Order: sequence, then C-alpha cells, then structure tokens
Amino acid sequence: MRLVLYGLVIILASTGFSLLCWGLWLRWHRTAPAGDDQPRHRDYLAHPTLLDPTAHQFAYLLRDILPAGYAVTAGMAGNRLVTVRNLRRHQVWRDARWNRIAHKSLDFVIIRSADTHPVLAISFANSPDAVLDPVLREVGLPLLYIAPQHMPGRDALRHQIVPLLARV
Amino acid sequence: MSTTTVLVFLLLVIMSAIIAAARRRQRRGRTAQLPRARGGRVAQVLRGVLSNVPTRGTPRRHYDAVDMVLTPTEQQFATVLRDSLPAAYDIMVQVALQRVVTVRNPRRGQPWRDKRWNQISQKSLDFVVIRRADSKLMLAIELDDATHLQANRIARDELLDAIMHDAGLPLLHVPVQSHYDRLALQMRLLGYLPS
Repeated sequence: MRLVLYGLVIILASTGFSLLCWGLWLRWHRTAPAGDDQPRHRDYLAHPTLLDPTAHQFAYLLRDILPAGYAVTAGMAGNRLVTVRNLRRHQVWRDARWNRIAHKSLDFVIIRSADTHPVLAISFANSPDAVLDPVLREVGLPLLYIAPQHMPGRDALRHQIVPLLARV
Repeated sequence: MSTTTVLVFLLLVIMSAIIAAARRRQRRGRTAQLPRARGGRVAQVLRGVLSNVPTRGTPRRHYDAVDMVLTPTEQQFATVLRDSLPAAYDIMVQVALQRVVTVRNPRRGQPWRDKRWNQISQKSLDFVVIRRADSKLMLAIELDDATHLQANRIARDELLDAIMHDAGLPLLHVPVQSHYDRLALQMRLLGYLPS
C-alpha cells in the first residue's frame, strides 16, 4: 500500500515537473527573438505586387484626390507609425505592447510631404482591427476603414478625407 | 485502496486545472487586447503618482504616434531618391517586410509558430520602389546610418540580405551621406529598373 502511495507521489511530482518545464519552454519559445541563423534556400517568396488590384485602384484614386502637400504611402509597419512608452531597450520583443503592434501594418498612411508627419491611416477592411483600432485611437491618429467591396467614388472619398486632413 | 483513489482523483484534478489555465492563457494571448493596468486601487494610484499620469478619468497611455515617419536624414535621401527615379516609379516608406516577402508553405492559422515567419513579421524596409502602373515590387532600399555598425544591426542586416536574396528581390544598401550624388544614384537605380 505504501509502495503504491510512493509510486503515485513520484508520478505526480514528475508530471508536475514536466508540465512546469513544458510551460517554461513554451514561454521562452514565444518571447525569444527570431534567430539570426540564415534562411534555407527558397524559404521565402517575394509578393509580385505591393498592392492587390483593388488596393492599387484605390491608391490611384487616393493620390488623385489628395490636396497638395500630402503624400500617400502603403504597407507601413505599425511599429514605424506608433512608439511604445517606456519601452525596454534592447529587449523590445519582451514587451507585449510592442509585440502587438510590431507585426501589424497599415494599408495606407497619408503623410505631410514637408516633414513626413502622419496625418491619417486608412485600412482596407470591412471591420475594425482589434489591435490597431484602439492603439490609433489612443495616440489620436484617425483611422478610416474602407470596405473593398464598396469602394467610394472620387467625390465621396474626398468628402471623407479632406475634413480629416484639415483637423491636423 | 481508498487512498489510491483519492490520489488519482487529485492528480486528475491538478492536471485538468493546469491544462485549463494554459488554454486560458493561450486564448488571452490570441485575443490581443490592450494591456490592462495590474494591481489594486492602491497600486494604480501609486503607479499614477510615480509616472505623473492622472489615474482618475483618463486611462494610462501606452503608445504615442511618431512625429515624423522618416528621420531628417531619411527625408533628405527620400528627396534625392524621388528626383532620381523615373516618373513611372514610386517610392513607399517604412514598409513592413511581410508586405513584401512571404513564407513558402506557411503554417495555416498559426504563423507565429513558424520561425521563418517570426524572422520577417516585425521587420521593415526603409524604402520600397514600386512600378506606378501596377504596384509591382521593383527594389528595396536600406539607408545605412551609424546604427548599422552595431553588432546586432550587422546581424540583422545580414539576415535581411539573405531573406531578400532568397525571395529574389534586390535590396540596395545606401550609406548615409551629407550630400548624395544624384547622378551616381540614378545610375545605380537604373541597373535594377527596366527602362
């Protein structure tokens, strides 16, 4: 009877220890930076275009309606538009706030040509982004959603965008 | 016998609790909400006093928008680059690398578990040249300032070079200068852009 009890205690302890190790390994694996070792041959592919045909058409329209002094850029990285307060230097990947925005990108960002100050972000999506939406609201940068299926016409887009540019 | 049954039951309860906690943590990680202030009321007040942030009414801020997307050095280069490019091409700035390069045979639904994905998901390129007519990716440009001489940046640049080489998209490194030779830059660019 005592032997069975000891056996169970050992099994319990070893299971607990293994689960703890597994948890720690998973944590380390998620927070560890991407390794610096070189990629194998043909691990990556370049996208043929930066914008799909609908987004390209929209970019053309956007460029056309923008007032002088503004420029549009596409695919900007989230961590280039927004910075994190009190960020751990040299260990940015350990900061959950940084990780949330670092893998995000904006479809279009309108910047002031003179000093590249961001003025307006545009997301080519049907529904608000769960990460970008609250972050950009917090920093006070307007984010406009354009549904690809219901792309506005030239005048409608101008009426939507120009007041937002004037606010800055 | 009854002791054994109780122990086995306990073991099962502990294991299911651990598994439930792990799954809860995983779910919380996926929903990617904004971080909430931790601790009780006293901790929040103390934190507010220490960080000089009002605690009542206004929530704690975690993010700030950048004042300028490009640094003055990058702006100077961007002007020269824009002047050097033929009219048929356009430049995009601070482009997320994942918009330019993708992973071959990605893990569906769990890209963050793929090391190759993690290598590209948080990096960006200073400038990307695209063809105005169809947004075709032509060339990426990195402006190498003094930070590129740091050991971690050298390793990062080597990795980026390897990724871009593997993807088959040219990446041009331009060292920061006080004055750019427009003609020389134009000649360099024309080597990558079909006329």
